[in-house]
Amino acid sequence: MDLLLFFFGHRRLLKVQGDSMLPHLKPEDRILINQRSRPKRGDVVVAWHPHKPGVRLIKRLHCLDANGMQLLGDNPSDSTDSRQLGAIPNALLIGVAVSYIRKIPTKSYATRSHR
Amino acid sequence: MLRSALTTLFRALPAPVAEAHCDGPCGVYDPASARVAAEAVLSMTKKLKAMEAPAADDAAALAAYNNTFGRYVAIKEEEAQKTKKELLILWTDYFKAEHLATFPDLHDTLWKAAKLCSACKVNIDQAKAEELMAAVEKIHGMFWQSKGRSDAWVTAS
Repeated sequence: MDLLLFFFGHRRLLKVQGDSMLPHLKPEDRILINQRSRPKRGDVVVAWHPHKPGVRLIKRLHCLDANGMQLLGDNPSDSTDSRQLGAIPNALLIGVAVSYIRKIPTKSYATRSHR
Repeated sequence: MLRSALTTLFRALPAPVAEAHCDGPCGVYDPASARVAAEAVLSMTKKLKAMEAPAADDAAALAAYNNTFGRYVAIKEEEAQKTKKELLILWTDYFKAEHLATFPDLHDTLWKAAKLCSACKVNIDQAKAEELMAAVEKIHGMFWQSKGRSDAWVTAS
């Protein structure tokens, strides 16, 4: 359904870069986001970086309160998130991830990691 | 079939990036992560060397032995890779050109330490695992000296 909605312009396609959402999301995975959905705790969301114009962050919504959104990476050792950035203002929310298009594993990846 | 075609199509479409990395200069580095992983490599190497194969006609004991041996090797492999990753992060992200003035052997030390991680994967070699620990200790010293501190080298085991 989300794939269909994408073609009608109701979903946005984004590419994941980085390791902060491992193991849930790997680099090069694609996601579809709903820009009209209200996020709830536990959702994977995309928001504008509070200090870097034009940079989108993808993190998990830990909690939502009057101060904004507490966004945390699933892989805390490789993530810059609300622990450093503080609460992200709600106005910076871009959308909620609703569908995932995973990277197809390649043989070379397995070979490399076992060298 | 349809799903596979759609996946291929979506992966081919242009997509803006959503950053999921350590996007800010968090500046949080600590060689302790490498030390813990290297300790695990040494520990698994010792355990592997201490294993004694059961009699060939004892199928149950042989199965248990093979299972344990396989697990130990897998953990050794994983922890050696983790050690290498942590060392490479220090090398490429933390250490800067100016540190070379204080530590002219910085590149050589880290390069050899990374090589030792590989050697620990390829072999069950306690001497190599101990060399790796010594290399990590040296890097620990360089790291804390570069920060103007002198943290004691303390191991977990």
